[in-house]
Amino acid sequence: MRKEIVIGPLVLLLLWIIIHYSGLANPVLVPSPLSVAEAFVLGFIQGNMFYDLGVTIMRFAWGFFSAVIVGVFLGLLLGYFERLYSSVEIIIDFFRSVPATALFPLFMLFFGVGDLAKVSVVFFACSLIILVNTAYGVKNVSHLRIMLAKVLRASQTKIMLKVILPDSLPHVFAGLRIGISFALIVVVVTEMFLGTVSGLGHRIIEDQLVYKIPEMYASIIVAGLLGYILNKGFLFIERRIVHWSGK
Amino acid sequence: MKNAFVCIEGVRKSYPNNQKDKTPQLVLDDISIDVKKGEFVTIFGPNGCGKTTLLNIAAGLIKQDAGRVSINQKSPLKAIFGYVFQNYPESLLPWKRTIDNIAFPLELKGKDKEERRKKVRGLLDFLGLHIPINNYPYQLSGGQQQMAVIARSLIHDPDVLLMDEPFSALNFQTRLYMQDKIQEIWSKTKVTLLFVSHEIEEAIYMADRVIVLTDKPTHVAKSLIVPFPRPRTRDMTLCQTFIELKKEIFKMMEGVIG
Repeated sequence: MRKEIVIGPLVLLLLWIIIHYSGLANPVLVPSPLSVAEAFVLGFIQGNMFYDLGVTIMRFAWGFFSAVIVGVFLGLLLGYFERLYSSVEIIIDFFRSVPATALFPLFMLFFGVGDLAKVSVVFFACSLIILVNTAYGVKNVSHLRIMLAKVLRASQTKIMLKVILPDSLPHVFAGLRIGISFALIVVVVTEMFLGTVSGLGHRIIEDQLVYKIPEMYASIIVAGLLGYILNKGFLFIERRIVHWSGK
Repeated sequence: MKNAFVCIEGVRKSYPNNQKDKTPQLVLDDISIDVKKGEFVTIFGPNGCGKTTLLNIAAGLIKQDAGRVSINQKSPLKAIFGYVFQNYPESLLPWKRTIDNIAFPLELKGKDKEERRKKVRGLLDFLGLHIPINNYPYQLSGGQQQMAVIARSLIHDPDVLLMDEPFSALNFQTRLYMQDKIQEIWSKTKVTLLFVSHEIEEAIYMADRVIVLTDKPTHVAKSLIVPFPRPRTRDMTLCQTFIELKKEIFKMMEGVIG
């Protein structure tokens, strides 16, 4: 591990300490690192941080993985049949451009205030990105590799499974990577809406309303760590699976 | 010659001029080529004369406008081909180890993994090819990638091996080495080989017969028999007969260019 990677976080911590103790900013809004650390630890051992984290992860996972299944499947199909893609391109691009959270109130009307509405909006946000990236990957599959399979008289199914699918994986994974970040944002935002009783987003908004600022920071840090670990973990898996990407 | 092994007869093919001008331009104009079983034929012609198109038609990958192709009296769609594409590094599947790339034709035929791998090792041994087969293609050198592609084109015992300017991306040394290696592989496997080249010396040095194509609209200018015994040596490229052959082809090309 390179030693210099700790410099940035240390400098940030130092700045935080300076800002808090110098009074540059309102110390209530920028609490001391120690009080945040205390809230962090207490949140886990006394409060229900674990529970809220778990709930957020579950909502994220349901939404994200269902989006992966549907997005990859439809992406392969639409990428393969170009005219099918053209016929729905405007719809896809339009809904892709609507901020998913703007649709949350609508989803609540349909699915109520429970988990189903949250999972659905995560699914909605991710599936289109994954679909578009997958379709793009299929469209950009090497013609030469398809020609190779054709000269070897491979069936259409075999060309799909043994050439097109693996060849489009780097683009699929690019879509999944964007999807993960998106899903996390959306799930936390939806948890801030009225009627929610659990999740990291709920903690953050509740603590903010009653001015429990260190507790709020602690929850934000947990959400950040979750995102960080998800991204790093995903990159690790991605490099293993699509090891040839960019080479 | 109706009984030739590879029989290309009166093949014509036109392509639209370009994106804007869709009027078809005649590329292949009445091409007839006969190749005997086990013969090593090079196809030589100026750049852009449709050599690749001709190979693709022979392989049944694209349809000719007129004329017919048969391999051993049958449709090319029923024949087994090995094909080394011009841009061969791209034709390797980067998600598969080299050994599984070479075995890919067998995988498509549904052979099981152990059998495939065994056959690859056997073939590489037989041909005297040394490739780090457990590496991924992007970890191989240009020459190693070339050898892997050649091995892949032979693993399923093709009726005909097609090679499309396979050495154009290699450096000079590797190129000379591969020219001899291909001849050695051909002598060992006795495969019928159609080799497209745009290098006169290479075309003569390697082949039993050189088929010279004209510029567009392309037809066969001449078919020249190369009378040298095998194995060929570099000295042969300096003898009078070789130089005469070269001169003859040059003269035909002058007609084309001039």
